[in-house]
Formats: sequence, C-alpha cells, structure tokens
Amino acid sequence: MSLVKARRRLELNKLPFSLGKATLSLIPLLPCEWAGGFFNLVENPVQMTLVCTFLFLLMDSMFFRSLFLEDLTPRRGPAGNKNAAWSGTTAYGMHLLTAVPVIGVGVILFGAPITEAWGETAVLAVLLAIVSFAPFCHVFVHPFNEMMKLLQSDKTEFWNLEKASLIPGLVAAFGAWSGAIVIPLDWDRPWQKWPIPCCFGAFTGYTIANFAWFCVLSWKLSRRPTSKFTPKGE
Amino acid sequence: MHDRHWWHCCSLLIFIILIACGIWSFSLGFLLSRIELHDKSPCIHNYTGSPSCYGNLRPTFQRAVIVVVDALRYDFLLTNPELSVRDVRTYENKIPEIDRLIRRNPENAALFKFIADPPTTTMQRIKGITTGSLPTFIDVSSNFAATSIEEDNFVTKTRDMGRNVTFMGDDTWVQLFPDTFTTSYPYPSFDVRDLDIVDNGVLEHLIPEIKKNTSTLLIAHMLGVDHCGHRYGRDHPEMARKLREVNLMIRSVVRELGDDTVLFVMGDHGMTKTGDHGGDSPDEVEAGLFVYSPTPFIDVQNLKPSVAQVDFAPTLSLLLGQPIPFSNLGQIIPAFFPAVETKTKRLISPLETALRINADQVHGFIQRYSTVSGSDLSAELRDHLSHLHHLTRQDKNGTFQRQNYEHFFATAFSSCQAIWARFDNRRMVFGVGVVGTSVVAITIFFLLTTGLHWTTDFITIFPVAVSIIHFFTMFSNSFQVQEDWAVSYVAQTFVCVHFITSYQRHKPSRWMILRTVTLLFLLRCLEYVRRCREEQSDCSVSVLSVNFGSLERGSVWYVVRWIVGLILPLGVGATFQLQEHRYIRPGLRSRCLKWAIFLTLVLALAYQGVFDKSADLEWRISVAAYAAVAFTYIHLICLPVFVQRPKPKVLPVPVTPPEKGRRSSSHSAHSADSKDYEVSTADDDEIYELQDAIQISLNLFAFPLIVLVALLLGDTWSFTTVTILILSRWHFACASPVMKVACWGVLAWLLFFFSGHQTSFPTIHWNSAFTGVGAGGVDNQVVQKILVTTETFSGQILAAVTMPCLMMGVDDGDVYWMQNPSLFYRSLWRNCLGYVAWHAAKLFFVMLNAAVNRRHLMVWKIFAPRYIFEVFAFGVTILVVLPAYLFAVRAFSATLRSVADLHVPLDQYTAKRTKEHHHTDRSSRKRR
Repeated sequence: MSLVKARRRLELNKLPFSLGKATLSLIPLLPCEWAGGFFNLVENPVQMTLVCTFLFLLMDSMFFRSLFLEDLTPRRGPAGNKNAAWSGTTAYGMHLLTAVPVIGVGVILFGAPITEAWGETAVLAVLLAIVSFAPFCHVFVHPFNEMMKLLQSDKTEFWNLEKASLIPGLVAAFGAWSGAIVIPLDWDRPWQKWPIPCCFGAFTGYTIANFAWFCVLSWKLSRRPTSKFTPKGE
Repeated sequence: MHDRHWWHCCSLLIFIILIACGIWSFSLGFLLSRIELHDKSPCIHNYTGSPSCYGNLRPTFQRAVIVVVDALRYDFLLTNPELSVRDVRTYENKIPEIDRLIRRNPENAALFKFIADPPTTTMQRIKGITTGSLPTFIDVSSNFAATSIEEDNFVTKTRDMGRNVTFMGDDTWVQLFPDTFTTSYPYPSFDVRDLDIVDNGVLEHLIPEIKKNTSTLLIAHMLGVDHCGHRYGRDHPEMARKLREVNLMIRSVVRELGDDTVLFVMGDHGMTKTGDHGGDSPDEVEAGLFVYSPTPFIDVQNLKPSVAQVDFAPTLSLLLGQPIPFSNLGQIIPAFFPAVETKTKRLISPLETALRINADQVHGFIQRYSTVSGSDLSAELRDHLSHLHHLTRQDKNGTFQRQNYEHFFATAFSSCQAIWARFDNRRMVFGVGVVGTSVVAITIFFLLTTGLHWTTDFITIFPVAVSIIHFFTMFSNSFQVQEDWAVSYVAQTFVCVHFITSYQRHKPSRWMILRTVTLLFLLRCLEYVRRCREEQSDCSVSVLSVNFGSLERGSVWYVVRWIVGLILPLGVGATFQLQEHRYIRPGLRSRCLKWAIFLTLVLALAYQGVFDKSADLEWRISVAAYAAVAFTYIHLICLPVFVQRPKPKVLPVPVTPPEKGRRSSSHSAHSADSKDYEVSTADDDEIYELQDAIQISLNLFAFPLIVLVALLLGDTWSFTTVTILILSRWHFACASPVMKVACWGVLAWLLFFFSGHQTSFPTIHWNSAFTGVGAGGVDNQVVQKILVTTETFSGQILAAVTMPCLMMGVDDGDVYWMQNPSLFYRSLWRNCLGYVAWHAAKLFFVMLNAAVNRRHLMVWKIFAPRYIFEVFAFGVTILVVLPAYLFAVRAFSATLRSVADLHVPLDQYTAKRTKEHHHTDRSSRKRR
C-alpha cells in the first residue's frame, strides 16, 4: 500500500520547485549569522545557543519541514501502529522525549563533562534530537529502526531521493561530532566553550546537507525535465 | 609451509627495515644526544681555601647579581640616538640606561652579543649558562627520571662552598637546582599568557635582596619579554612596556649595587619576528649580555663585540675566585682580567693565569669525555686538541701567545658543537622521506591489489578517513597534550559506527547493545584511570587510579578495589577453564599447559595486592609467574596444534558417506545402519572441534602475555586494560578487515593511555622495573629496562599480540580458512602488513611534525618526547607482531597437517555459523 502511495507522491517534477525553496533551504544559516553578529554569543553562550536552537526549530518546522517532509508518505496509521492507544502526535512526543535523555547520555559518554554543565549538554541533546531524530519520528512508526535502516543502506539506496530529506539531520549529527575537534585546541577563544562548537557544527552540517540535497534535486530535475522520475534501485 | 611464505616474510621485513632506517636517520639528525659527566673539578675550594689552584688570580668580586631576562635580544639593548621617535620600532631604544652607563664609564660597563647555542629553549639555556657546556635535548644521564642538573655548575659549586645563593623568578631553576638555593621566590613559568606575574614577583624581591647583601650569588629570571613575544610577537606595544620595565629595573639595581658586586643582565636566547625560539637562526641565537660594576675592572683594549654563552660560566667562576665547572667548554672573557705586562719572566699576568687554568680544564674535560663516550669524539680529533693544548704551553721567547689559546678554545668548542648542538637537516629529510615513501608505497600496494572499488565503500573509507584526521591532529600541540581524549573519542566513534553498521534491525541482539554500552561507558571512564601530564591543567588523579597499597584499609574504595581485583582474574581464569574443557584435547600435555596458565593467573592475582605481600614473597611470586609464562610459550611454540583426534573406533573415516558428514545428527538418524549413525555423531564432534581450532591456538598464544602485562601493570590498571581489550575483541569480531586494522591501531594507543601513561617522561612508572627483580638481588639494568618498556607499552603489546586472532575471526569459523589455506596465509599477511602500516603512518606524521615544528616553543617538551614514544611504540609493536604472525602461520600449517592426518576431506567440515543477518538484510531490502 505504502509503496504505491510513495510512488505516486514522488513525482518530483510536480514538486513545487522555485527559488523560494532554494532560499528556504538556506534558512538554517540564519541562526549562525545572528549568533555571530546580532546576539552577543560570547558573553552568554549557553542561552544564546538555546535561543538559536529554538529559532532554528521554529523556522525549520514552519518552512522547511512542512514543505519537504510532508512529501514523504506519513507511515503512521492504524495499520502500522502497534500501539493503537497512542495517536500520531503522542507517539511523536514520546519518541522525542525518550530520545533527549538517551542522546544526552550518549553525548556524556562521548566526553561531555559528567558532573557539571548539564544544562549545556541538555541543549546539545535537545538540538540533536530535534534536528536528527524528529523527522524520523514525524514520518515513521519505528523511528529508530528506520534510522538504522537509512544508515545501513548501501549506495544505491542512499541516493534514493525518497528519503533524502531525512539525511540532512544525520549530517547534522556528524557535524556535531566533528565540531568537537576544535574544543581541545589551546586558542582560548570564548566560542570554544562546551557545547558551542558542537551546536554550530550541527547547524553547519544541517545547512550544508540541505543545500547539497537541494542541488542534487535540482540537478536530477534538470536532467529529466519531462519524464516521470523513478528512483534508482527500485 | 606454503610457497609464498618467504615472500610474505620478506616483504614484511623489508617494510620494517625501511621504516627502521628512516627512524635511525631521523633520530640521528633530530635527537641530539650527549653523555653527562658527573665529575667535579679537582679544585674544591675557592681562592681563600686553596690559592694554589688559582696562582696570582685573585677574585675580583665578592658577589654577583645575575638577571636573566628571557628572550632578551642583543638589539633590544642597543640605543641609537639617530632614530627619530617616529621611525623607532617597538623594541628599539627602550633600554637607554645601558647606553648611558657605557658612555659615562666604559671601564665599568660593557655590552656584548651573547651567542646562544641551539636548542634555544630556556631549560637547555639555563643548563648551558650554569655548566658552560652545550646541553642537548637528551643528556644521557644515569638517572633518567630526574630533571635536576647533575653536572658540575657554578650554582651548586657556590652553595657547596657554604656561600648563599638567592633565586627569584622562573620556577624552571628550582626544578633544575632542587634544594640548592638558600632563599628562593619561584613563580610558575608555564602560562605563556601571563606577562606580569613573574616579573612583578622578581621586581618586588630583587632590590630588598640586593640591599640585604647576604648572598654571593643572586639570580633573577624574568619571563615577561619572552611571554610577550610568544603571545603578541616582537612588534607589539606590550613589548615596549616590558622593555621599559627592564630599563627601570636596571637603573634601580645599578643604584643599589655595592662596590664588590658585579651585575650581569643577559638574555638566555633571542626570538624570531613572531616571538618563537628553539632553533639556530641568528634572530634566535643572538641574545644580549650587559655587565656592570661600580668598580672599574674592564680592559677596554681587549674588548670583543661578541662572546659565546658558554663563556659566562668560566668568567663568572674566576671572577668570584671559584673553580671552573668541569664540563665547561667556554673560554673566559679576556677583557675582565688584567693583562699587565710584567718585566720579569717568572711573573705572568692574571689574564694568562686565567687562560691557562681555563685551557687545562677544557683539555681535561675533552680527554675525560672521549674516554667515556668512545665514538662521539674521534681519536684524531682528540689528539689534535691535545696538540693544540700543548702549543699553548710553549712560550716563544718567553712571551705569552694568546692566539694559541684562542685557537685551542675555538677548535674545541666548534668540534663539540658540531657533535652536540646542530640539527642535521639532511638526515632529517632523508628519514622523513624514507618513512613517508614506504607508507605511501604500502598504501598504493593495498589500493592496487584490492582493486579500487573499495574506495567507494563507506565502511572501508570511514576508518581510514578518521585515522587520517587523527594523524593530522598530531600537528597540533594541544592535540598531543590531550591525545588521551582524542584517542578515546576516535575509539568511541569506531565502536558506534560498528554498532550502527552491524546492528540487526529484525533480530536485535541484547548482547550487542549491552557490550556497546559497556564499552562506551568504560572508554568514558578513562577520566578516572588516566595519569595527568604537566600541561593538562584541568586534570586530577582519581582515587580509582592510586596505588592499592596506599588506600586506607577498610575504606569503601579499598573494598571495591579488593573485590574487583579478586573477581577479574578469577573470572577470566574460570572462563578459560570452561573453554579449555571444550577445546583442548585431554592428556598430560594439555594438563600441564592448563596448570601452567592457571598457576600464572592465580599468582598474578595473589600479586595484585589482594593478599598481603612481603617483599620476599612478592619476588618469588613474580619469578614463578615469569617461569610459568615462559613454560607456556615454549610449549606452544613446540606443539601448537589443538585439534581433537578421532577416537580409534571411528577410523577408517572414508567409509562414511560424504552426505553423512554434512550436518546434524538428527537427520542422519533415519539411516539404516546404527554403526553409521555412531560414526556420524563422532564426525559431528570432529566438525565441532575444528570450528575454533586456529582461534584457540592464537588465543592461547595471546593469553600468557596478557597475564604477564597485567602482572606488570599491577593492581591499578590491569582491570580496565584487560576488560577493554576483551570487550573490543568481542565487539569487533565481525568487522571488516580495514575497520579491524584501524580499530586495533587506535586500541594500541588507547590501552597505552588507559594503563596510566602519557607521552611524557615524568609519567613513566619506574616502580614497575622492580617487579620480580627488586628484592631478589638480581640487579641487572637490562632486565629492568625490558620490564619498564613492557609495562609502558603494554597497550601496544596487548593490541599486537591479539591482532592475528582478531583478524582471523570470521563468521564461518576456522573451517573456512582450512578449506582455503592460501587465502588464510594471504589475508593474515595483509592484515599484519596493514597493521604495521597504520603504526608507520602515525609515526610518519609524528616525525613530520617534529621536523616541521623543530623551532616550536614546545618542541623539547611535547613534540620530541612524543616522537620518542612513537618510535618505541612502533618498535614494541613490531617485536610482538612478527612473532605473533610467525606463530599464527606455524599453528595454522601444523593444524592443517594434523587435520590432513585424519583422512577426512576438508570439504566435509561445514561452516557452523551462517551469515544469517546478511540474508535477513538482503531479504528486507527486497521486501521494501
């Protein structure tokens, strides 16, 4: 059932493709811009990162997610949901609520301070949960399994555009991972404070992946201007 | 042995030999070494004590004030009145006091270019100034752990004569001269950002101490100028401020100076435009020296514009009427000694006396050094110097031949300098080039033989990419300081990535999740078991990693550690015993082996602090453990096969139809003949035994070494180290070969840091040198050095020795390898080569970093020790990998032979484990 639906939904040439969407895919850049100039990131880093995260979430869910993610078939429904007592929104919330402490513990295991700076760690955990995990919760009944499936998928599946809008979130997690590289450097810059590099690594990764995905999308569309797009590997 | 065995061995050896050549050449060029002599000068008294040592050379001064201004360049001290205020640079014309003093009374004051010798780093320079010798990075000393100066020097000498020495400033001096100073005001020197704390401390105490007039030597060391250079560079307004402070300091000191006192203001080295130092460029080498005394004492006729830094020690010693330090290579500054011509032949001038004393001392030192060092100084050179020294004594027509002295000093100094104090760039480039080329060659070889397709495979690229990023971080001193965290981070990444790629969505294994979380948790616990190095400011030693014996008996941690110390060896031992019952064939031989290993374990357990131990018992236990380990190894090497032979009644096997041997006794039950049924069950047993035939040999090979290392690590670190090793071995059992190689390379360093080490010399655990040799009267340095090396690089040893058994673990079990023996040999060889190449690549980056950053501020503190540790780690890895490789080959071929003796065709042994999850993966993809 879902297969047919997905095929129908994935008529990419019918997707609204405009400069407006291109601009919107760059929106996650804005928090970084603002944090650098408009707000005083250096004096109050944690709160500012938190503010950025929420702004980010707001804009992301307002513009980007509603535009792109809804193109995917929401797999949630009475047939797929084993726990019928939970409605879609409750499941979404419960999954996210579980994900935040799990990610938080994961971040601590990866080297965040154990006994101090819990607030900062929580900021990063919330950010990662929202950016990486929330799209899966939004679409799938078993978000963790689906995330693993996407991560384990091979090359042909990876470039399958059906799930491409989920990938920027994972790249954001990778960005957070690589952001930690600057923390041990002895430059004594205020922005090296935990967890700012990781948060902005996540923002950067998300933006780059979004933009890259958009480029791939427009490239594919330009190559097949009229014919129906069928994803590879199907 | 198979046909390509020799090619495999040779290629491994050639690669290793190439790397070794590179290391050797690089070390010769980079690590300048010298032997420290602990001889003292024959005169042990000052002038009043034994005037015969000094002839007519009376001490000119009673006291000396030495102000070392770190990185004070010669041109900082100059004053050029022609420069207009607008043209003047930030560091020029800031110390006019010196110019004023020299102009007013040229017989009282002098300014010299003070040529330092590389390495121009503070600690080496302080050694050079005080001993008059040319210290190198590695001064081979009998006591490697100590940082104090053990060579003859004027500070200790002054103190030994019962005179007072006062010190203030940079706390490096207190490390170099512990318990030497009568009064000392040390300030921390490590924080480069601090411009004022040390200087203000010095300025606060300097004038009062001079006014007290109690100490013969007063040493002050200011750091502001150097730190300003490091932080802002040479051309910064802060530099002007610091230099004006120096000017004020000189003015106030000169005002307070007594008539019998001499003042030296000197820089220990210069600085480049960016404020760095360490190398041998003119900017770094040309420091300044200013001398002043209220009493006129300078012979202006003899004044030279520049003196060497080593000239300071003999000059000061003779000015104060003390013997010249034994290892001194400098010559006295002639202008400070009166050269009055005497009419009579008998009397010689004080200058000539001073030169003669000095020349005798230098000559004595060189003779002594050449006898001690052997090859450093060639015999021809020594004889040449003796000849020159002899010439100085031959007065032509009774007149004093100064140029002879000059020639002798210059030759002695330059020949020693050529040996000790110069980076050999050609050798360094050659070394780096050889290592780099070999690593690149191996990489290309892998790329070509594997085919280029794997480069598109994420699982293969990822570990390589992360390793390369990790290698590149070696170019940062912060990452070398915090390397324990970096390595742990990389290891955690690998654990997570392997978890993600091998997670079975449809059949999640609880064990897998549990061991991933446990492994991540243990890796995080590094914080509690690591040792801190000096540069890690936010590090504190946890109660978990202190010595068990130092814990208070009955406290919570004591109980916890006691229980852990009991459970770990017993648990490992019990697991081993259980496994052994399944795998090892019964008989006298296996029983001996079993008890040897079990005994080792229990002894190690006993040793590890759970039981009360007296020194004598401790010695016996560890010697017994060594003996057990040795016995096990001899046994394993002689008889490496662990396959259960079929019972006699089962033979002849060829009767068994092939399909009977295939699988599952339940299916063969319907066969008519009951005898056939029996045979097939026996065959099933046989098949079962073969599953881990190689693995058990390789595990047994690793096991005693693990126990031995745990024994050396002692009660503190063996728990975490061994647990992480076993868990990682389990976790990565089914990873791809590239992942395994990268993981095991990282694991080697991870275990190094987890066993409480850092890549700096103060964190070496010297007490492990006495495990089993201390109390027993075996006083052999060689054994102790081996023990310390084993303990320090236990991580590398553990990783290397477990490497073959990790690599050879495949889903299909060992039967797979026995069916494809040539594949086994090839992949074993490739994995070993890859593992060595990983370490060689890291070595290459560390080496390149040391070569590129040889002028860096931290080169002797961070980079050079890191290089030395890397070299030792590489050596230890190779020494363990090669035997492990050879043993694996031997065990495999011997097992293969003994299986062939069973007369069962190998294709009858089916693989027991199937790749179930692969099938499920594929089916799930299709389903989608």
